[in-house]
Amino acid sequence: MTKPIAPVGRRADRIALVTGATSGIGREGALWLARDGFHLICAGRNAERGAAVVAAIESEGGSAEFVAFDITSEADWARVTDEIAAQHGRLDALVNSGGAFFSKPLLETTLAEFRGLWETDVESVVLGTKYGLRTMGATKSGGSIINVSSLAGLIGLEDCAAYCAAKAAVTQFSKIAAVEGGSFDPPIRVNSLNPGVIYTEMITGAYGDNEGVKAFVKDGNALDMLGEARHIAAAIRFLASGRSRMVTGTAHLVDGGRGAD
Amino acid sequence: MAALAGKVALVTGAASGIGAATKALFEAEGAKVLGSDIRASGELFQHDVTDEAQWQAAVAECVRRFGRLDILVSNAGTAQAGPIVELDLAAFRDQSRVHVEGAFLGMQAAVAQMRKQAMPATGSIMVIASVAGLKPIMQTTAYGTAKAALINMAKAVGVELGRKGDRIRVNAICPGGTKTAMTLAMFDESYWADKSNFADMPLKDYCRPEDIADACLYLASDESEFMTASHIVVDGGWILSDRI
Repeated sequence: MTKPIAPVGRRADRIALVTGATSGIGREGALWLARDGFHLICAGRNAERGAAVVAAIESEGGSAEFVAFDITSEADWARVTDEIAAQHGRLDALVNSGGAFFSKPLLETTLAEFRGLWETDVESVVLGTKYGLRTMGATKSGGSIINVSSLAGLIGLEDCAAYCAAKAAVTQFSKIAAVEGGSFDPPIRVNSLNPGVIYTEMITGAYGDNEGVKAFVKDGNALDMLGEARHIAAAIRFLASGRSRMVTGTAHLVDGGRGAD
Repeated sequence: MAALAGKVALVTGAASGIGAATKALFEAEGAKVLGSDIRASGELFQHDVTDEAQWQAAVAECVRRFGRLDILVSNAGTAQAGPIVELDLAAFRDQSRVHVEGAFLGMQAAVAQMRKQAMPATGSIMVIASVAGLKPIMQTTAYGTAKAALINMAKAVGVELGRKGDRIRVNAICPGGTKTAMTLAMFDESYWADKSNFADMPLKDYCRPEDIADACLYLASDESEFMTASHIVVDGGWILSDRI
């Protein structure tokens, strides 16, 4: 493995807020951003796991804090982003990584289950983007908002109607938000990040953590490679950095070639 | 820190613009780079990308100078603009040959070399396409058609190589309006200086060659090892605008 790409515009006072930061892609993304010099605000529900992420970042010489809040609550978003503005005076990167997943045939999916996923995966991103833009705009931070969507937002996956619909909504919403983000001075970038099937707790929680699941996840990729959280963290790093200065409104697909055929 | 230490790259169209910026950035990140161009001077290698034998020669020169090939940036291209009724078949074919056949020959030559070096073969190939290959841009019939073919070919080859067990990644980069020698020949300095030309774009600015080089660095480095058969749009959000 070559050395990481050196960050551009590194400043010790850059602030990043990552939701879903206590596991999977969010956790790995937080670790990578901390290595780039961001101060990390790690959001999640589980304080114990949150403390573990903060400890992991600090053990590498980084700087982080944990904040517990409900990403589907507008009041919580307002409170947390107000606190960030008051304490740090800026917000440079927001990674909306928190979300949920389930796989079920459409005929077995209840409206309540559909709405539950919509709330966790779509409304959380809508609220996060709204308050992210508001905070970055008010503090004149510029900044980059990264909404973690999925390959499932670009193509259909079997028995995943609710998830595919939700992730398609996140993908398209992010493009619209990118247009609005451009109206701020300095402009705020918004992109969706569309991972393929990544072997994280989200997958193992739904399908199990064993060699069979691992093979199933890997074999769908064009590349003979298991998708891991670090692969998506690298994309988060790129989209949060000055290296993607002119990248906005894109759906950044990192899927090992799974979706192309 | 050197993200590309130990790697060897071939960058076509390296005399100016995106190719020159990419070569410079890769070298700054520790790579050995053979730059090629149809108008070569100095250390650049003379290279017409529509000629199969010249691709063989360029890859051979890379191996001769630096011992291997890890990264191909298929960047060489030419512009076209004009009404379709005035577009003659020769000009249409010229666009197809430079962009589509050029990248086709380049991928063949690069993959053959990469497969000689290791099993499974490793490497990263990127083609510089255009937003014009994703959405219609007025009067770029031949250019846009060629770029669309280029994007899809990159994805097809990415899938093919992956499924055959190679760890060679193939992706496209789609720049929007970028100020280079190629586009300066079509739009002079006054166009680029006039901010109203970019007011409809979310980021209200055009791209510099360095912005595209940054995306190339990301795709060239091992950090993006899971990314293949994909594309990156670097356009300040231009593609979202309803203005063409």
